[in-house]
This record gives sequence, structure tokens and C-alpha cells, in this order.
Amino acid sequence: MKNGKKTAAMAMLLCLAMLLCGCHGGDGQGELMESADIEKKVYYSLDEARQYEVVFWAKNDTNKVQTAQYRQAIADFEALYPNIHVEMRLYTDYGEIFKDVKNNISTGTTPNVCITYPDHIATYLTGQDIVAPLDDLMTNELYGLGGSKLKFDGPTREEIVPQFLEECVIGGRHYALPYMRSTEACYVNKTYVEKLGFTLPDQLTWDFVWEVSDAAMQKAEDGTFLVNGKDVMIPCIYKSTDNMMIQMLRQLNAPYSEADGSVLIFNDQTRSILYTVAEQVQLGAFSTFKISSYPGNFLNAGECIFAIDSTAGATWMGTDAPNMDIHNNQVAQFETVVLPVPQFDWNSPRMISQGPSVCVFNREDPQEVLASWLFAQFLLTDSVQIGYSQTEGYLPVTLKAQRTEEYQDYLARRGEDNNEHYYVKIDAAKLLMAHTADTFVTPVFDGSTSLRQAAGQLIEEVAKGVRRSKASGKTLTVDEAYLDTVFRKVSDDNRLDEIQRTGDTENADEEMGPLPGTAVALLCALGGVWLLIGAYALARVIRWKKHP
Amino acid sequence: MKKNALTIVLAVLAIAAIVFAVTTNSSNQNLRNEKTALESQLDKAVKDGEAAVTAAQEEAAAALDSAKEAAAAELAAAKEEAAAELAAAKEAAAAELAAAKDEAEATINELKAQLEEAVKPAAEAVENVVETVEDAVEAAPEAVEEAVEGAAETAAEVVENVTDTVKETAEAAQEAAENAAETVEGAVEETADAVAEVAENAADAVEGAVEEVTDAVAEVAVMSHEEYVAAALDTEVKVETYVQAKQSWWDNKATIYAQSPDGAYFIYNMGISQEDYEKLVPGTKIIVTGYKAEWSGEVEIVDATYEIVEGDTFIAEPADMTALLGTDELIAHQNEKVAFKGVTVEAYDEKGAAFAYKNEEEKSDDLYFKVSKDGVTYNFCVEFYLCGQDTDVYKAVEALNVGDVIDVEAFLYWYEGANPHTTAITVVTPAAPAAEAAAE
Repeated sequence: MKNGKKTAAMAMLLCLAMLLCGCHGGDGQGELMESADIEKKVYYSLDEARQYEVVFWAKNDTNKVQTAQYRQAIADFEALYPNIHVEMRLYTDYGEIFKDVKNNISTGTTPNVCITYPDHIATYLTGQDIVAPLDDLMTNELYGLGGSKLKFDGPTREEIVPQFLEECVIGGRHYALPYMRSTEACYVNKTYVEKLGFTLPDQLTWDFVWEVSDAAMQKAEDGTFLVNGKDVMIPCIYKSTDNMMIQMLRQLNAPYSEADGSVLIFNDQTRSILYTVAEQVQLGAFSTFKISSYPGNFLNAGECIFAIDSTAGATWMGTDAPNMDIHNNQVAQFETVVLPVPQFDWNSPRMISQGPSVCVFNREDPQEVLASWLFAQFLLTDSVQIGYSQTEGYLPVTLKAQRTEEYQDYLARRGEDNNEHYYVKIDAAKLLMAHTADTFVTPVFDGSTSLRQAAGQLIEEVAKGVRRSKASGKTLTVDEAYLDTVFRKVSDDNRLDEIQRTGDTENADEEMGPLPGTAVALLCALGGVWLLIGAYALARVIRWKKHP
Repeated sequence: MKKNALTIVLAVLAIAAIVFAVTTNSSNQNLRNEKTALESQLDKAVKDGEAAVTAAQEEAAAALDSAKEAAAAELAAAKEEAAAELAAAKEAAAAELAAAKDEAEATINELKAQLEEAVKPAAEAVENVVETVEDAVEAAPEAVEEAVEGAAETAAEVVENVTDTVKETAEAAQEAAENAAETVEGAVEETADAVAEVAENAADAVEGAVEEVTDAVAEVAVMSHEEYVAAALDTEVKVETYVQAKQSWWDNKATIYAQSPDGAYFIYNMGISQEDYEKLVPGTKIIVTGYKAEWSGEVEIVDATYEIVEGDTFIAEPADMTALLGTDELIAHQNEKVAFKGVTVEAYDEKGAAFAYKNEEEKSDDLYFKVSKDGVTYNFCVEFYLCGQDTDVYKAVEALNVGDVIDVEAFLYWYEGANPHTTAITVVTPAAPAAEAAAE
């Protein structure tokens, strides 16, 4: 009996020893627990007896109405949460926000809430715990989306446009909420299209754009262009050449990049796009914002037929545009039509989704993060969404706001005036509403901003090269060798070779490799011992039964 | 016994498991520590690597500079040598040519003397014949006629002989001249071959030196402002000018306002290190190579490279362009340092403000204001990257009132029309206070 107890005691000791072996978890599990702890910290409850200061960095389009919208949003929020004071800092350039945030990371003086782009967030995330992951905040019953303790009528998760919310996912987590969305549109001088003998379709193709553009290059004997009687005509001008390259590649189902940071842009379809660009620049039928100026300036002066720019720039387009940079006496009279960007194949249209998102920066104090989250969430309320979207051709990011009577009334009053209801602006917003399912975003990773810049630079380099050769009386030979040099230059200028590919975390276990031999041996030994113990116990039972 | 044995085995196994657990835990701790250490080492290695890369880059840049210098020196030396050899060869050829000429001249003179000698007796003979003829004519007409005929025949023979002699002499002289010419030609040819060989060697040396260092530099010559204005857009230009002012440096680029006595330039986003940027104080002479471009009416040099030139400096005085406001002539002074005097501040917007901020909240961006002259209003601005919020001109604009009469100094920038980048404002006549204006 005593020996039996000893045996049992030893067996239990062995079990305990085995448990000790199992306690040393891998580094991966430890990290997950750390992040989960951070998320769990923030949402217990908001201490309303405390005062909070939330620093908010935002960007406006040098538009006073937008500034007023932000101010109103802050005032309305502070009225609901008197203990949370929002300090706003306004920028006129996203690049400046990006630069300042990066500079402030090292000193721990980032803002609490920031209007930003996912590309930028990917760079912020290279630092540890800089940007707060929002998934648990979003699903929190009290303070999350549609939470019971919110003092405002915010949208639930289902009431946010799914595509726009999905765009804020980086590495499997939400690190931002969408704030405003836009896409690109082609603002067309329909009058000149018809003057050239064409019928403007509802669905533009690249072939049509080039055909009309080439036709517009015909000149009279005095050297002026037939279509407008002027010395200047650039039929197609593209504002954002990085969008141009990215969209064309997507439309052609051609590679651009992968989420792991792979740079795939230097391919045959890119070359074919650049050959077309070279051809059209040689004819004088195509130019870019960086080379010539704002497409809207040329469109409004009757010197451009297809001006491709953001829907958020709609108030600058057209004969009656409320915003204009050219003198009144230079404005031409024509009918402006807003169409989706040209496609290669309308059976599978693709257009970029763009527009600002809002992120929350981490702090040691979870209460501060919670207060910041509440303000960020407030920016998705109907009044803010509708008010801000009306300042330009933006679309509210919540279905909730889009479906309100107020917003529907705004859309219905299209063309009533040339300011709040300017028809070009409303048509631009409607365009995105109709094509939300056709929009896409590109993978976001540390370096995706550089890759985007490189995409645009490819077009700019070829266009400049052709123009400069033409000006010297030569014709640039755009061939494979030339494009190879352009690829090399663009890659070097943007340091694309320094973009690090990240491993696939889902397969991290496979990368761990096989168990060491000693571990295998011990496990086998342990298993073997238990088998022996079991066999011995069984033998004893059998013996006892035979000889009770 | 068996039970004791089993107990012992279990005890041993338990101890082994405990030891294993402890060992692996400590191994894991060691691994973590190692990982941390390795990460630190990696960071250090990355930093060292970056430092090494930077050092290597600097070394390579220095090596490139010294290779450039060496190649330039070699090139200069090769050029000098070639020039010297060419000069020597030319001199030698000239000397030989002169010698050949002298020889030919001497030969010709000799032949001339010979000719004279040959002609002299013939002339004398002709004279004698004429005298005899004359005497004979006096004595007997028939005989005279016969004698005259005979004398004429004799004279003709003499002349023919003399002519033959002269011809032979001329042919001999020509032959001598031809020989001399051939000699000279041969000398020249030999000299030319020698010169060509020297030049070829020099050219090979030069070509080799250039190929070893870098790609060829644009061969655009420095142009005057007039030539720059006449140059077509998108062509390569090269100008020698002087820095007048500069916008903020960022990401190895800066925009420069430059002017020479004959005209001004706007050099947009020129690639420049921060170290060199600091050297570009007003008045600094630079040679800029780039491409001429036009953006919304503003003519500028883009994709520019530069060379700082030690030596003279130049700072332009603002030229009074008040009379050209609203005229087609104003654009000819684009980018120059200009002044507009006695212009009146107008309301910028419907609210009647004297100016507007591009970023009203932060006051950290451009300022816009309008002025009028003779009933026509013009847009001016303060470019923040040129004159920030701490500058006198920025504060002066913030203090403007509608109705102020001011003098303005600016760089004549262009954006869809004149859009001067203001650098100084003087209020000449403040606007009348509101009460006085109402009373009036």
C-alpha cells in the first residue's frame, strides 16, 4: 500500500514535471497576449470626472467651408462631452501631416486623432504600438460602433459602407475608420466632343479617348486648333499619374504589388501603357498636371476635352464652377459631363477608391485612447458626414448618412445653383455611389507610398523624355532599352529595392522547423513510461482478479 | 522489490522531467536573451551597415571627385600636350613652307636674271639690226627693203630663239616651282600626318579619360538671358546667374529665385544637399543646367543641376514696374525682383478682409491679398516657404487694412497671370479710419 502511494506520488510528480515542460510558450504567443492586453485596456468605461485633451490633426482642401465643418463637429462633440476638449491643427497637405507624424513618433508627441491614409498608417506601424488597433473598440458594447453608452447617434458597423471599412484593414486588423471617400472622374467637354463629330458615350473607353484626342489635334492653316480656334489644346490631361498607372494596371488585371511588399510594377503591361503614353505625348494629345498644370484650368479655358481628376475636385470643373483659378474672360462656354474614368473593358470596370481616413494613436493611458476613439467615431455621424461631403464631390462613408432625407434632398436639388448644389459636384458624388462596388485599393505596407510615387513617375519620365526630344527636333526612340533605363531610374529614385518583404504570419509555424531530437526523445520516453505504467496497472488488476 | 524498482524508475523519470523542464525553460530564456541580444546586434549591425554604406558612399563620392579631378587634369594635360605638338608641327610646317618658298623665289629670281641675260644680247642685236637697217634704208631703197626683210627675218629668228630660251627658262622655272611645291606639299603632308597622329593620340587619351570618370556632360553652352527666353520649351538650357532668394529646403530639393543683370530665372525644385543649400546666400553665382518648362504661365527651369562659382556676386535692385501693371509688357520681366508703388489694398473676399490665409487655423501657409492700380485689381501673395510667419512682410500683410496705399517689393512670379511673391511692404498712406470715411 505504501509503495502504491509512493508510486502514485511519483506519477503525479512526473505529471507536474511534464506540465513544467509545457509552460515555456513561444515568442509569438507572448506577443499576441501583449497586443490583446493593450486592446483590452481601453474600453472599461470613460471616467467623465476627468478632463481629456484630444489633439486632432486634419487636412482641408484650402476650403473655408471645410474648416467650418471641422469646427462645428468639434463644437457639437464638446457639447456632448464637456470633459473632452479637442485641439485641432489644420494642414493643407497630406504629405505635411505624414512628415510631422513621423517626426513626432520618436518623441512620443503624435496627435491623438489624425486624418490620414492607410499607406501612411503602414509606415507608422513600423514603430511598436504607435497606432491603436480598433477592432475591439469597434465591437465594444458600450463605446463601440452603435454602443449603448454613446451620447451620439453613430453608425453601427453594418451601417458603414463595407468596402470603405475594409480598406482600413492592415495586417488583418482595423487601424482606421474611413472618413470621406472619392474616386477619379473624367470631366468631359461634351460640346467639343460633338464638334469633332463624335457621340459621347456613357461609358468611356481608352480607345475612344485617344481617338477623340488625336482628332482634336487638327489645325487650321493659321496654326490654331480647329476645335477651339486657339493656340493651345491638350485634349487629355491627367491630374494624378500614379492613379493613372495603378488603375490601368488593375483594369488590365496586371500585377502592381502584393501585401507582403512585393514590387511587381515592372512588367509588360506597364510597358504597353508607357508606349501608349509616349505615342500620345508625341502627338501633343496628352499631358499631366506636373508638366502642364491643373486639368481644370485647361478644361475651363476650353483647352482640354478630357480632364481626369478626383471627384473631390468637382467644384473646380466646368464653365460655372464656383472655384476658378483662371480669369473670367478666359472661361469658355461648354457643357460639362462627369463620367467614370476610361476603361479598357466595361465588362469589369475598375476605379480607384481614395479619400481620407481617421486613425487613433496609442497612449499609455487607456482613458485617453477611449476619449480619442469617441471623437474619431463622432466624425462618422450623419451631420459631420453630410456637411463635409457637400463641400466637394465626396461621398459619405456611411450608408446611414447616404440614406438620410437630408442627403437625398441634397442630391435631388442638383443644379439648383452653382454653389452648394453645383451639378458637376453632385454628379461626381453620384458617380461614386453608383460604382462603389467597382472601386479598389492597393495593398498597404511600409513602402507602398514610395511605390505609388514610382508608378506616377514612370509616366512623367516618359512624357518628359518625349517632349524634350521633340523640342530638340528629334524623335525619342521609346523601346525596350529605353524603358529599361526608365525602370532603373524610377526604382533608384524611390528606393524600391529597400522595400522589405514581410513573411506570411499565417504560416509562421511552418517556418519554425521540426522539433529538436532531444524533445522528440523525451516525449517518446514520457509516452513510453505512461504506457508501461498503464500496462503495469492493468497487469496488477488482472492478477488481483485471478487471485483476489 | 518490483514496486520499489517501479517507484525508483518513476522518481528518476520525474527528476529527469523536472530537469528537462528547468533546462528547456532556461534554454528558452537564454534563447529570448539571445534573441534580444541578436536583435540589438542586428540593430547595431544595421546602423553599422548604414554608417558603412554612408562612409562608402562618401568615399566613393570622394573617389569620384578625385577621379574627376585627375581625369580633368589628365584631360587638360593631354590637351596642352596636343596643342603644343600641334603648334610645333605647325611651326615646323610653316618653316619648311617658308624655306621652300624662299628656295622657289630664289630659283625664280635666278631664272629671271638668266632670262634677262639671255634677252640682253638679243635686244642689243635687234638694236644693231635696226640701225643697220636704217642706214641701209638711207643708202639704197631696194637694198634697204631686202636688208629690212633680212633684218626682220633675222630679228624674227632672234626673237624666236629668245622666245625659246624664255620658254625653256620659264619651263625650268615652272619645273623648279613645281619641285618646290612638291617639296612643300610633301612637307605639309608629313607635318599634317604627324599632327593628325598627335591629335589622334590626344583624342584617344581624352576619350579614355572621360569614359573612365562619368557619362558625358551636356554640351549646352551657357546662354544669355535673351537666348534663354528664345529657347523653346522642353529644351535644355544652361545659364549663369546669381541667387537672389530661396525657398525652404526639403528632401534634398529647393526652389531658387535667381537673377543676372540681363534677366531673371525661377529654378523649381532643384536637387541640392542641405550643405550646399546653406552656401546659396543672396548674391552667390551659380551655373544652372536644366530644362525650360512652363507651368500655368510661369516659365521656369526644372530638373536642374547646379555649380557654385566662386567670384563676383550680384544682387538685383527692385525695378519699378508700376507702369507696366495690366500691360502685356509686364510678363517680359517674369521672375525679376520688382517694385509696385502706390497701389491700394482691396478687399480680398466678400467679407471685406484685407487678406486671407491659405491655412487660416494654423497661419502656417501662404497669404493672399489684392491691390489695385488705376481701377484694375491684381492678386499678390506671400509665399510661405520664402517668407514665413516670423518675417516682417508676413506680419506686414497681416496688419494691412483695405484702403492702405502701399509700396510692394516682390519676385514677379506668374500663375495664370501676374502673382508676385511679395518680399517687402511699406505702407505709404494708411487707410482713413472708418469714422472719417463715413463722415466724408
